[in-house]
Amino acid sequence: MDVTDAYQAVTSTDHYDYGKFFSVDTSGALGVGQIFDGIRYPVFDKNDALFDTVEGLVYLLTHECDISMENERPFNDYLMLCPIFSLENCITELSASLSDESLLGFLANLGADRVSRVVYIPPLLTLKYGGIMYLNQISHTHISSFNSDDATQIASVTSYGLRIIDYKVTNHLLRPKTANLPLMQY
Amino acid sequence: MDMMPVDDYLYYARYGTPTTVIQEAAYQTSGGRRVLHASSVAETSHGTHFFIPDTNVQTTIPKQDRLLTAEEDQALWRALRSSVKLVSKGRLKIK
Repeated sequence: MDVTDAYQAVTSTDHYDYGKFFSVDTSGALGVGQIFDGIRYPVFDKNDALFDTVEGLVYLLTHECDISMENERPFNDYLMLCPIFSLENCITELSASLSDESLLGFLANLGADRVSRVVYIPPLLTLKYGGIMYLNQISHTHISSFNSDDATQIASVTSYGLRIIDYKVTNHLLRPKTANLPLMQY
Repeated sequence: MDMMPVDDYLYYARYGTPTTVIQEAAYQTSGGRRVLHASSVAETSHGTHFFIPDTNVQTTIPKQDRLLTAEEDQALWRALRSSVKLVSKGRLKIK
């Protein structure tokens, strides 16, 4: 499937107003809904059972107060992030595994925001057709990674964009357990 | 009472049980954060629709019920790996 067709399939549902997703103001403190490129973080490679250090595009999840150097507290130089990759790469890999019919079904659900593990984000600079936040690969790194020469902030989300992302993260991590745990009613 | 725009208002909506996904929403006032309860919660085929009294705030939160298949999950992992630059294997290298 061509990526332009895929982009049409994702955005045709018109579920969100993606024009309101990103802000032109990128001057906020680290941790207020930013997307960075060139950030180093670990990814587990199941082929050799080792964590690799990779460099790429990420959404910074950690709250700005938890990494503010003005707050003297332990652990405030580590932060959490969510990897992002382009819709093009997503379609290339999905096309290798799925029929066009199945792929169209996946993209329609992605556009309607029904897929719990991923967040579609609209086009932006290097993401011509938008990208995918992969919530199952949420990772962490050290704050010095954001000070490297390769680290570049490429966007900030608005409160509208932040709400969409926060809903997804909340649902992914905190939705009620299916199993009945002990002391459920107490 | 200073109400924030609808988008900011909804930002604070929280998930509850599967049958009453949105139980409450909060809004920020100049005096601090306060909480309201959604009065009208309805399940639809697309998600949960809710309405908050004393406001015109209403929205539908889509169901997050489309799980990834194993093939899709593996394809997304490959897409991630093809999107990043490998810096080192087996250890975290920041500099």
